[in-house]
Amino acid sequence: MSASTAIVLIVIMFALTFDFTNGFHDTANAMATSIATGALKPRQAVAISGALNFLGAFLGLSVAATIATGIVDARLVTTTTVFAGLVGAITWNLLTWLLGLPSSSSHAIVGGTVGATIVQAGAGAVNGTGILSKVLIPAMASPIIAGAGAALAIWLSARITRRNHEGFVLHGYKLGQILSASMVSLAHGTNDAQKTMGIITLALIASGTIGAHAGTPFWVVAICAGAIALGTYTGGWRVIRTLGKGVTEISTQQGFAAESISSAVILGASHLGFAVSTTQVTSGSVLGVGLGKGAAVRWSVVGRMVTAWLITLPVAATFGAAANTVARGVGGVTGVVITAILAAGVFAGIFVISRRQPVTADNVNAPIPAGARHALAFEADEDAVAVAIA
Amino acid sequence: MTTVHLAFAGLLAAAATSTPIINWTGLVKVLLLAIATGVIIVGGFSLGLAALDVYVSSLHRQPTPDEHGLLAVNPPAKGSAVAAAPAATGGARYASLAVALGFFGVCMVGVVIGLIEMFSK
Repeated sequence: MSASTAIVLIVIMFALTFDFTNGFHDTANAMATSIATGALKPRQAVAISGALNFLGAFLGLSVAATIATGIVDARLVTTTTVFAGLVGAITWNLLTWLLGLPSSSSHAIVGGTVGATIVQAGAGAVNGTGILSKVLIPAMASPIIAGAGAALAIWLSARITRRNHEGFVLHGYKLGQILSASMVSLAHGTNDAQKTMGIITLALIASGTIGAHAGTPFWVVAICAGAIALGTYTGGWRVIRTLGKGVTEISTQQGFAAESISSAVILGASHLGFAVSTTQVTSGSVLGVGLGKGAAVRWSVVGRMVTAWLITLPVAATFGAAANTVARGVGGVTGVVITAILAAGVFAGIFVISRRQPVTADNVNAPIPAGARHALAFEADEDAVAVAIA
Repeated sequence: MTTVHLAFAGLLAAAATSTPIINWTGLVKVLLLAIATGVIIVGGFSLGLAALDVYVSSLHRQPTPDEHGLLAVNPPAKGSAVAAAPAATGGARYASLAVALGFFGVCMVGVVIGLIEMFSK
Protein backbone atom coordinates (compact mmCIF):
# COMPACT_ATOMS: atom_id res chain seq x y z
CA MET A 1 0.00 0.00 0.00
CA SER A 2 1.40 3.38 -0.99
CA ALA A 3 1.57 6.30 1.45
CA SER A 4 -0.97 8.17 -0.64
CA THR A 5 -3.48 5.31 -0.47
CA ALA A 6 -2.96 4.97 3.29
CA ILE A 7 -3.74 8.65 3.82
CA VAL A 8 -6.84 8.46 1.63
CA LEU A 9 -8.08 5.48 3.67
CA ILE A 10 -7.52 7.42 6.92
CA VAL A 11 -9.36 10.39 5.41
CA ILE A 12 -12.31 8.19 4.45
CA MET A 13 -12.36 6.72 7.97
CA PHE A 14 -12.43 10.19 9.54
CA ALA A 15 -14.99 11.40 7.01
CA LEU A 16 -17.28 8.57 8.01
CA THR A 17 -16.64 9.39 11.67
CA PHE A 18 -17.66 12.97 10.91
CA ASP A 19 -20.76 11.68 9.13
CA PHE A 20 -21.57 9.54 12.18
CA THR A 21 -21.19 12.52 14.54
CA ASN A 22 -23.24 14.61 12.12
CA GLY A 23 -26.02 12.03 12.35
CA PHE A 24 -26.11 11.64 16.10
CA HIS A 25 -25.53 15.36 16.69
CA ASP A 26 -28.40 16.26 14.36
CA THR A 27 -30.97 13.59 15.27
CA ALA A 28 -32.39 16.37 17.41
CA ASN A 29 -33.23 18.42 14.34
CA ALA A 30 -35.80 15.93 13.16
CA MET A 31 -36.96 14.22 16.28
CA ALA A 32 -36.47 16.51 19.30
CA THR A 33 -39.95 18.03 19.15
CA SER A 34 -41.66 14.68 18.42
CA ILE A 35 -39.88 13.10 21.39
CA ALA A 36 -40.61 16.08 23.63
CA THR A 37 -44.33 16.08 22.81
CA GLY A 38 -44.61 12.30 23.09
CA ALA A 39 -45.65 11.90 19.44
CA LEU A 40 -42.97 9.23 19.15
CA LYS A 41 -41.13 7.17 21.74
CA PRO A 42 -37.40 8.01 21.81
CA ARG A 43 -36.21 4.69 20.37
CA GLN A 44 -38.94 4.67 17.71
CA ALA A 45 -38.02 8.22 16.74
CA VAL A 46 -34.32 7.52 16.19
CA ALA A 47 -35.06 4.30 14.27
CA ILE A 48 -37.43 6.10 11.87
CA SER A 49 -35.03 9.01 11.56
CA GLY A 50 -32.07 6.72 10.84
CA ALA A 51 -33.95 4.86 8.09
CA LEU A 52 -35.09 8.09 6.42
CA ASN A 53 -31.64 9.65 6.68
CA PHE A 54 -30.31 6.62 4.85
CA LEU A 55 -32.92 7.02 2.12
CA GLY A 56 -32.44 10.78 1.88
CA ALA A 57 -28.71 10.39 1.32
CA PHE A 58 -29.41 8.84 -2.07
CA LEU A 59 -31.60 11.72 -3.28
CA GLY A 60 -29.85 14.52 -5.16
CA LEU A 61 -26.23 15.68 -5.11
CA SER A 62 -26.49 19.48 -5.40
CA VAL A 63 -24.99 20.09 -1.98
CA ALA A 64 -22.14 17.62 -2.50
CA ALA A 65 -21.07 19.68 -5.48
CA THR A 66 -21.22 22.88 -3.38
CA ILE A 67 -19.00 21.52 -0.63
CA ALA A 68 -16.49 19.92 -2.96
CA THR A 69 -15.95 22.91 -5.19
CA GLY A 70 -17.14 25.91 -3.22
CA ILE A 71 -15.00 26.10 -0.08
CA VAL A 72 -11.39 26.03 -1.12
CA ASP A 73 -9.32 25.78 -4.26
CA ALA A 74 -9.32 22.01 -4.80
CA ARG A 75 -6.07 22.21 -6.81
CA LEU A 76 -4.15 23.42 -3.75
CA VAL A 77 -5.60 20.98 -1.26
CA THR A 78 -3.94 17.71 -0.29
CA THR A 79 -5.50 14.70 1.37
CA THR A 80 -3.73 15.68 4.59
CA THR A 81 -5.56 19.01 4.47
CA VAL A 82 -8.90 17.28 4.10
CA PHE A 83 -8.01 14.97 6.99
CA ALA A 84 -7.07 17.89 9.26
CA GLY A 85 -10.30 19.68 8.37
CA LEU A 86 -12.25 16.63 9.41
CA VAL A 87 -10.39 16.44 12.73
CA GLY A 88 -11.37 20.06 13.41
CA ALA A 89 -15.01 19.44 12.53
CA ILE A 90 -15.34 16.23 14.55
CA THR A 91 -13.72 17.83 17.59
CA TRP A 92 -16.18 20.74 17.45
CA ASN A 93 -19.15 18.43 16.92
CA LEU A 94 -18.20 16.33 19.94
CA LEU A 95 -17.56 19.36 22.15
CA THR A 96 -20.95 20.89 21.32
CA TRP A 97 -22.61 17.50 21.80
CA LEU A 98 -20.99 17.27 25.24
CA LEU A 99 -22.47 20.67 26.09
CA GLY A 100 -25.82 19.74 24.52
CA LEU A 101 -25.61 22.58 22.04
CA PRO A 102 -27.29 22.17 18.65
CA SER A 103 -24.54 23.79 16.61
CA SER A 104 -24.01 23.45 12.88
CA SER A 105 -22.08 20.48 11.50
CA SER A 106 -22.02 22.34 8.17
CA HIS A 107 -20.18 25.28 9.67
CA ALA A 108 -17.88 22.91 11.53
CA ILE A 109 -16.76 21.15 8.36
CA VAL A 110 -16.40 24.45 6.51
CA GLY A 111 -14.38 25.91 9.39
CA GLY A 112 -12.17 22.84 9.81
CA THR A 113 -11.41 22.71 6.09
CA VAL A 114 -10.69 26.43 5.88
CA GLY A 115 -8.30 26.31 8.86
CA ALA A 116 -6.44 23.29 7.52
CA THR A 117 -6.22 24.79 4.04
CA ILE A 118 -4.72 28.03 5.28
CA VAL A 119 -1.94 26.10 7.05
CA GLN A 120 -1.42 24.08 3.87
CA ALA A 121 -1.57 26.68 1.13
CA GLY A 122 -2.22 30.09 2.64
CA ALA A 123 -5.32 32.25 2.77
CA GLY A 124 -5.34 32.59 -1.02
CA ALA A 125 -6.54 29.00 -1.37
CA VAL A 126 -9.76 29.84 0.41
CA ASN A 127 -12.67 30.66 -1.87
CA GLY A 128 -14.06 33.50 0.24
CA THR A 129 -16.77 34.47 -2.21
CA GLY A 130 -17.94 30.88 -2.51
CA ILE A 131 -18.12 30.44 1.25
CA LEU A 132 -19.99 33.68 1.73
CA SER A 133 -22.48 33.32 -1.08
CA LYS A 134 -23.09 29.58 -1.04
CA VAL A 135 -22.64 28.63 2.59
CA LEU A 136 -22.42 31.42 5.17
CA ILE A 137 -25.15 33.78 4.02
CA PRO A 138 -27.73 31.04 3.36
CA ALA A 139 -26.82 29.51 6.71
CA MET A 140 -27.32 32.84 8.48
CA ALA A 141 -30.53 33.66 6.60
CA SER A 142 -32.07 30.19 6.91
CA PRO A 143 -32.90 30.27 10.66
CA ILE A 144 -34.49 33.69 10.23
CA ILE A 145 -36.53 32.47 7.25
CA ALA A 146 -37.49 29.29 9.09
CA GLY A 147 -38.37 31.22 12.25
CA ALA A 148 -40.59 33.64 10.31
CA GLY A 149 -42.28 30.83 8.40
CA ALA A 150 -42.84 28.83 11.60
CA ALA A 151 -44.25 31.85 13.45
CA LEU A 152 -46.69 32.45 10.57
CA ALA A 153 -47.62 28.75 10.45
CA ILE A 154 -48.34 28.45 14.17
CA TRP A 155 -50.30 31.72 14.18
CA LEU A 156 -52.44 30.51 11.28
CA SER A 157 -52.84 27.05 12.77
CA ALA A 158 -53.83 28.40 16.19
CA ARG A 159 -56.37 30.78 14.59
CA ILE A 160 -57.95 27.96 12.59
CA THR A 161 -58.30 25.55 15.52
CA ARG A 162 -59.08 28.03 18.31
CA ARG A 163 -62.74 26.94 18.56
CA ASN A 164 -62.05 23.23 18.43
CA HIS A 165 -61.48 20.73 21.21
CA GLU A 166 -57.95 21.05 22.43
CA GLY A 167 -57.54 17.35 23.18
CA PHE A 168 -58.76 16.26 19.76
CA VAL A 169 -56.65 18.84 17.93
CA LEU A 170 -53.47 18.06 19.86
CA HIS A 171 -53.96 14.33 19.22
CA GLY A 172 -54.42 15.08 15.51
CA TYR A 173 -51.22 17.09 15.41
CA LYS A 174 -49.46 14.25 17.23
CA LEU A 175 -50.24 12.01 14.25
CA GLY A 176 -49.24 14.82 11.87
CA GLN A 177 -45.93 15.11 13.69
CA ILE A 178 -44.97 11.57 12.71
CA LEU A 179 -45.22 12.63 9.07
CA SER A 180 -43.57 16.02 9.53
CA ALA A 181 -40.70 14.61 11.61
CA SER A 182 -40.15 11.96 8.95
CA MET A 183 -39.93 14.71 6.35
CA VAL A 184 -37.23 16.50 8.36
CA SER A 185 -35.27 13.25 8.64
CA LEU A 186 -35.49 12.74 4.90
CA ALA A 187 -34.45 16.35 4.33
CA HIS A 188 -31.54 15.92 6.74
CA GLY A 189 -30.25 12.87 4.90
CA THR A 190 -30.62 14.69 1.60
CA ASN A 191 -28.74 17.73 2.82
CA ASP A 192 -26.17 16.53 5.37
CA ALA A 193 -24.96 13.15 4.11
CA GLN A 194 -23.99 14.92 0.91
CA LYS A 195 -21.55 17.16 2.74
CA THR A 196 -19.45 14.15 3.71
CA MET A 197 -19.78 12.80 0.20
CA GLY A 198 -18.36 16.12 -0.97
CA ILE A 199 -15.43 15.87 1.45
CA ILE A 200 -14.55 12.31 0.40
CA THR A 201 -14.88 13.36 -3.24
CA LEU A 202 -12.50 16.24 -2.52
CA ALA A 203 -9.99 13.78 -0.99
CA LEU A 204 -10.28 11.46 -3.97
CA ILE A 205 -9.71 14.39 -6.34
CA ALA A 206 -6.76 15.62 -4.27
CA SER A 207 -5.14 12.16 -4.32
CA GLY A 208 -5.71 11.83 -8.05
CA THR A 209 -7.97 8.79 -7.58
CA ILE A 210 -10.69 10.50 -9.62
CA GLY A 211 -10.62 13.45 -12.00
CA ALA A 212 -11.15 17.05 -10.88
CA HIS A 213 -14.59 17.20 -12.51
CA ALA A 214 -15.69 13.67 -11.72
CA GLY A 215 -18.99 13.08 -10.00
CA THR A 216 -19.39 11.49 -6.60
CA PRO A 217 -18.87 7.68 -6.94
CA PHE A 218 -21.83 5.51 -5.89
CA TRP A 219 -19.85 3.65 -3.23
CA VAL A 220 -19.15 6.99 -1.56
CA VAL A 221 -22.88 7.73 -1.51
CA ALA A 222 -23.63 4.30 -0.03
CA ILE A 223 -21.09 4.39 2.82
CA CYS A 224 -22.03 7.97 3.71
CA ALA A 225 -25.71 7.02 3.84
CA GLY A 226 -24.86 4.13 6.17
CA ALA A 227 -22.68 6.23 8.48
CA ILE A 228 -25.21 9.05 8.92
CA ALA A 229 -28.05 6.58 9.46
CA LEU A 230 -26.07 4.70 12.12
CA GLY A 231 -25.15 7.96 13.84
CA THR A 232 -28.76 9.08 13.78
CA TYR A 233 -29.94 5.78 15.26
CA THR A 234 -27.42 6.13 18.10
CA GLY A 235 -29.31 9.25 19.13
CA GLY A 236 -27.61 12.40 20.36
CA TRP A 237 -29.78 12.60 23.46
CA ARG A 238 -27.95 15.62 24.90
CA VAL A 239 -28.80 17.82 21.92
CA ILE A 240 -32.30 16.34 21.63
CA ARG A 241 -32.96 17.42 25.22
CA THR A 242 -31.81 20.98 24.56
CA LEU A 243 -33.85 21.43 21.40
CA GLY A 244 -36.94 19.55 22.58
CA LYS A 245 -37.16 20.76 26.17
CA GLY A 246 -34.61 23.53 26.62
CA VAL A 247 -35.63 26.30 24.24
CA THR A 248 -39.35 26.30 24.95
CA GLU A 249 -42.03 23.84 26.06
CA ILE A 250 -43.85 23.03 22.87
CA SER A 251 -47.15 21.37 22.04
CA THR A 252 -47.79 18.87 19.25
CA GLN A 253 -49.34 21.71 17.23
CA GLN A 254 -46.14 23.75 17.52
CA GLY A 255 -44.01 20.68 16.83
CA PHE A 256 -45.93 19.92 13.64
CA ALA A 257 -45.61 23.52 12.42
CA ALA A 258 -41.90 23.70 13.26
CA GLU A 259 -41.06 20.40 11.56
CA SER A 260 -43.12 21.18 8.44
CA ILE A 261 -41.40 24.52 7.93
CA SER A 262 -37.96 23.04 8.68
CA SER A 263 -38.34 20.31 6.09
CA ALA A 264 -39.55 22.80 3.47
CA VAL A 265 -36.63 25.16 4.06
CA ILE A 266 -34.01 22.38 4.14
CA LEU A 267 -35.34 20.62 1.05
CA GLY A 268 -35.85 23.92 -0.79
CA ALA A 269 -32.34 25.11 0.02
CA SER A 270 -30.89 21.72 -0.90
CA HIS A 271 -32.77 21.85 -4.20
CA LEU A 272 -31.22 25.24 -4.93
CA GLY A 273 -27.72 24.01 -4.01
CA PHE A 274 -27.43 25.93 -0.71
CA ALA A 275 -25.66 24.00 2.03
CA VAL A 276 -27.87 25.25 4.85
CA SER A 277 -27.42 24.16 8.42
CA THR A 278 -30.29 21.88 9.36
CA THR A 279 -29.50 22.63 12.99
CA GLN A 280 -29.98 26.34 12.54
CA VAL A 281 -33.11 25.87 10.44
CA THR A 282 -34.77 23.63 13.02
CA SER A 283 -33.62 25.80 15.91
CA GLY A 284 -35.06 28.85 14.11
CA SER A 285 -38.35 27.01 13.57
CA VAL A 286 -38.60 25.93 17.21
CA LEU A 287 -37.93 29.49 18.33
CA GLY A 288 -40.44 30.76 15.74
CA VAL A 289 -43.27 28.53 16.97
CA GLY A 290 -42.46 29.50 20.56
CA LEU A 291 -42.60 33.21 19.84
CA GLY A 292 -45.52 32.84 17.40
CA LYS A 293 -47.69 31.35 20.11
CA GLY A 294 -46.43 33.58 22.88
CA ALA A 295 -44.80 30.70 24.76
CA ALA A 296 -42.04 31.26 27.30
CA VAL A 297 -38.60 30.99 25.73
CA ARG A 298 -35.49 30.12 27.77
CA TRP A 299 -33.32 32.92 26.48
CA SER A 300 -30.28 31.68 28.40
CA VAL A 301 -30.36 28.47 26.33
CA VAL A 302 -30.96 30.44 23.12
CA GLY A 303 -28.02 32.69 24.02
CA ARG A 304 -25.70 29.69 24.48
CA MET A 305 -26.86 28.27 21.16
CA VAL A 306 -26.31 31.50 19.25
CA THR A 307 -22.89 31.95 20.86
CA ALA A 308 -21.96 28.45 19.70
CA TRP A 309 -23.16 29.30 16.19
CA LEU A 310 -21.04 32.45 16.09
CA ILE A 311 -17.83 30.75 17.21
CA THR A 312 -18.27 27.50 15.28
CA LEU A 313 -16.40 28.57 12.16
CA PRO A 314 -13.34 30.17 13.83
CA VAL A 315 -13.00 27.49 16.53
CA ALA A 316 -13.35 24.60 14.08
CA ALA A 317 -10.87 26.43 11.83
CA THR A 318 -8.44 26.65 14.74
CA PHE A 319 -8.81 22.90 15.46
CA GLY A 320 -8.34 22.13 11.77
CA ALA A 321 -5.28 24.38 11.58
CA ALA A 322 -3.79 22.76 14.69
CA ALA A 323 -4.33 19.26 13.31
CA ASN A 324 -2.71 20.17 10.02
CA THR A 325 0.20 21.85 11.79
CA VAL A 326 0.93 18.61 13.70
CA ALA A 327 0.46 16.42 10.62
CA ARG A 328 2.72 18.60 8.47
CA GLY A 329 5.22 19.08 11.29
CA VAL A 330 5.85 15.33 11.53
CA GLY A 331 5.32 14.89 7.83
CA GLY A 332 4.12 12.16 5.51
CA VAL A 333 1.90 9.29 6.42
CA THR A 334 3.51 9.13 9.90
CA GLY A 335 2.30 12.66 10.60
CA VAL A 336 -1.24 11.78 9.60
CA VAL A 337 -1.22 8.60 11.71
CA ILE A 338 0.14 10.42 14.78
CA THR A 339 -2.43 13.19 14.37
CA ALA A 340 -5.17 10.59 13.97
CA ILE A 341 -4.09 8.85 17.20
CA LEU A 342 -3.99 12.16 19.09
CA ALA A 343 -7.41 13.10 17.72
CA ALA A 344 -8.86 9.72 18.67
CA GLY A 345 -7.56 10.31 22.21
CA VAL A 346 -9.33 13.67 22.37
CA PHE A 347 -12.57 12.14 21.06
CA ALA A 348 -12.40 9.35 23.64
CA GLY A 349 -11.73 11.92 26.40
CA ILE A 350 -14.84 13.88 25.45
CA PHE A 351 -16.89 10.68 25.50
CA VAL A 352 -15.56 9.74 28.95
CA ILE A 353 -16.44 13.19 30.30
CA SER A 354 -19.97 12.85 28.88
CA ARG A 355 -20.48 9.69 30.97
CA ARG A 356 -20.32 11.72 34.16
CA GLN A 357 -23.77 13.12 33.39
CA PRO A 358 -25.32 10.75 30.86
CA VAL A 359 -28.42 11.73 28.92
CA THR A 360 -30.22 8.71 27.51
CA ALA A 361 -33.54 7.73 25.96
CA ASP A 362 -34.80 7.17 29.52
CA ASN A 363 -34.15 10.65 30.93
CA VAL A 364 -34.19 12.83 27.81
CA ASN A 365 -37.68 14.13 28.61
CA ALA A 366 -37.14 14.65 32.34
CA PRO A 367 -38.28 18.11 33.47
CA ILE A 368 -35.72 20.90 33.46
CA PRO A 369 -35.56 22.55 36.91
CA ALA A 370 -36.93 26.08 37.07
CA GLY A 371 -34.15 28.64 36.74
CA ALA A 372 -31.67 26.16 35.27
CA ARG A 373 -29.07 27.87 33.11
CA HIS A 374 -28.76 25.04 30.64
CA ALA A 375 -30.92 22.22 29.32
CA LEU A 376 -28.73 19.41 30.68
CA ALA A 377 -29.77 20.17 34.26
CA PHE A 378 -31.94 17.56 36.00
CA GLU A 379 -34.09 17.70 39.13
CA ALA A 380 -31.72 15.25 40.82
CA ASP A 381 -28.84 17.66 40.21
CA GLU A 382 -30.68 20.39 42.09
CA ASP A 383 -31.41 17.97 44.95
CA ALA A 384 -27.79 16.91 45.05
CA VAL A 385 -26.68 20.53 45.23
CA ALA A 386 -29.15 21.18 48.05
CA VAL A 387 -27.87 18.16 49.97
CA ALA A 388 -24.29 19.23 49.42
CA ILE A 389 -25.07 22.73 50.69
CA ALA A 390 -26.90 21.31 53.74
CA MET B 1 -1.47 37.59 12.70
CA THR B 2 -2.57 33.95 12.88
CA THR B 3 -3.51 31.88 9.91
CA VAL B 4 -7.14 31.95 11.00
CA HIS B 5 -7.08 35.73 11.05
CA LEU B 6 -5.63 35.67 7.56
CA ALA B 7 -8.48 33.47 6.42
CA PHE B 8 -11.11 35.83 7.65
CA ALA B 9 -9.26 38.77 6.17
CA GLY B 10 -9.45 36.84 2.90
CA LEU B 11 -13.14 36.31 3.35
CA LEU B 12 -13.77 39.96 4.06
CA ALA B 13 -11.69 40.99 1.08
CA ALA B 14 -13.71 38.67 -1.10
CA ALA B 15 -16.91 40.16 0.28
CA ALA B 16 -15.74 43.66 -0.53
CA THR B 17 -14.61 43.02 -4.09
CA SER B 18 -17.03 40.48 -5.55
CA THR B 19 -20.34 41.50 -7.07
CA PRO B 20 -23.15 38.98 -6.51
CA ILE B 21 -22.36 37.75 -3.00
CA ILE B 22 -25.96 37.16 -2.08
CA ASN B 23 -28.21 35.06 -4.26
CA TRP B 24 -31.29 37.10 -3.43
CA THR B 25 -33.46 35.20 -5.89
CA GLY B 26 -32.58 31.91 -4.25
CA LEU B 27 -33.17 33.24 -0.74
CA VAL B 28 -36.53 34.74 -1.74
CA LYS B 29 -37.51 31.40 -3.28
CA VAL B 30 -36.70 29.62 0.00
CA LEU B 31 -38.67 32.26 1.95
CA LEU B 32 -41.66 31.89 -0.37
CA LEU B 33 -41.42 28.13 0.00
CA ALA B 34 -41.48 28.47 3.80
CA ILE B 35 -44.54 30.74 3.61
CA ALA B 36 -46.28 28.47 1.11
CA THR B 37 -45.61 25.49 3.36
CA GLY B 38 -46.98 27.39 6.34
CA VAL B 39 -50.16 28.22 4.47
CA ILE B 40 -50.76 25.09 2.39
CA ILE B 41 -49.38 22.25 4.50
CA VAL B 42 -49.83 23.53 8.06
CA GLY B 43 -52.93 25.59 7.22
CA GLY B 44 -54.47 22.78 5.17
CA PHE B 45 -53.80 20.19 7.86
CA SER B 46 -55.25 22.53 10.52
CA LEU B 47 -58.41 23.19 8.49
CA GLY B 48 -58.80 19.46 7.91
CA LEU B 49 -58.36 18.78 11.62
CA ALA B 50 -60.83 21.51 12.57
CA ALA B 51 -63.44 20.15 10.14
CA LEU B 52 -62.85 16.59 11.37
CA ASP B 53 -63.35 17.76 14.94
CA VAL B 54 -66.71 19.25 13.93
CA TYR B 55 -67.68 15.95 12.33
CA VAL B 56 -66.61 13.85 15.33
CA SER B 57 -68.37 16.22 17.73
CA SER B 58 -71.58 15.91 15.73
CA LEU B 59 -71.33 12.12 15.99
CA HIS B 60 -71.22 12.42 19.76
CA ARG B 61 -74.41 14.48 19.65
CA GLN B 62 -76.23 12.08 17.35
CA PRO B 63 -79.90 11.57 18.35
CA THR B 64 -80.53 8.18 20.00
CA PRO B 65 -83.91 6.56 20.76
CA ASP B 66 -84.98 6.55 24.44
CA GLU B 67 -86.87 3.75 26.22
CA HIS B 68 -90.13 4.90 24.57
CA GLY B 69 -88.55 4.87 21.12
CA LEU B 70 -88.42 8.67 20.95
CA LEU B 71 -85.34 10.37 19.52
CA ALA B 72 -83.45 12.75 21.76
CA VAL B 73 -80.23 14.58 21.23
CA ASN B 74 -77.42 13.36 23.51
CA PRO B 75 -76.53 16.38 25.59
CA PRO B 76 -72.85 16.69 26.35
CA ALA B 77 -71.83 16.23 29.96
CA LYS B 78 -72.10 19.44 31.93
CA GLY B 79 -68.82 21.26 32.05
CA SER B 80 -67.19 19.05 29.46
CA ALA B 81 -65.12 20.48 26.66
CA VAL B 82 -67.65 19.17 24.15
CA ALA B 83 -70.23 21.65 25.41
CA ALA B 84 -68.33 24.56 23.91
CA ALA B 85 -67.42 22.81 20.68
CA PRO B 86 -68.81 23.61 17.26
CA ALA B 87 -70.93 20.73 16.02
CA ALA B 88 -72.78 20.03 12.80
CA THR B 89 -76.00 18.13 12.23
CA GLY B 90 -77.50 16.37 9.23
CA GLY B 91 -76.05 17.46 5.89
CA ALA B 92 -73.63 19.82 7.56
CA ARG B 93 -72.10 16.84 9.35
CA TYR B 94 -71.21 15.16 6.09
CA ALA B 95 -70.13 18.46 4.62
CA SER B 96 -67.65 18.84 7.48
CA LEU B 97 -66.31 15.34 6.79
CA ALA B 98 -65.94 16.19 3.10
CA VAL B 99 -64.18 19.44 3.98
CA ALA B 100 -61.84 17.56 6.33
CA LEU B 101 -60.96 14.98 3.70
CA GLY B 102 -60.57 17.73 1.10
CA PHE B 103 -58.10 19.71 3.18
CA PHE B 104 -56.13 16.63 4.21
CA GLY B 105 -56.02 15.82 0.50
CA VAL B 106 -54.73 19.30 -0.32
CA CYS B 107 -52.09 18.87 2.36
CA MET B 108 -50.96 15.49 1.02
CA VAL B 109 -50.98 16.65 -2.60
CA GLY B 110 -48.85 19.65 -1.53
CA VAL B 111 -46.32 17.31 0.13
CA VAL B 112 -46.18 14.96 -2.85
CA ILE B 113 -45.84 17.76 -5.43
CA GLY B 114 -43.16 19.38 -3.30
CA LEU B 115 -41.19 16.14 -3.03
CA ILE B 116 -41.47 15.40 -6.75
CA GLU B 117 -40.34 18.94 -7.57
CA MET B 118 -37.42 18.74 -5.12
CA PHE B 119 -36.08 15.44 -6.36
CA SER B 120 -36.77 15.92 -10.05
CA LYS B 121 -33.55 17.93 -10.45
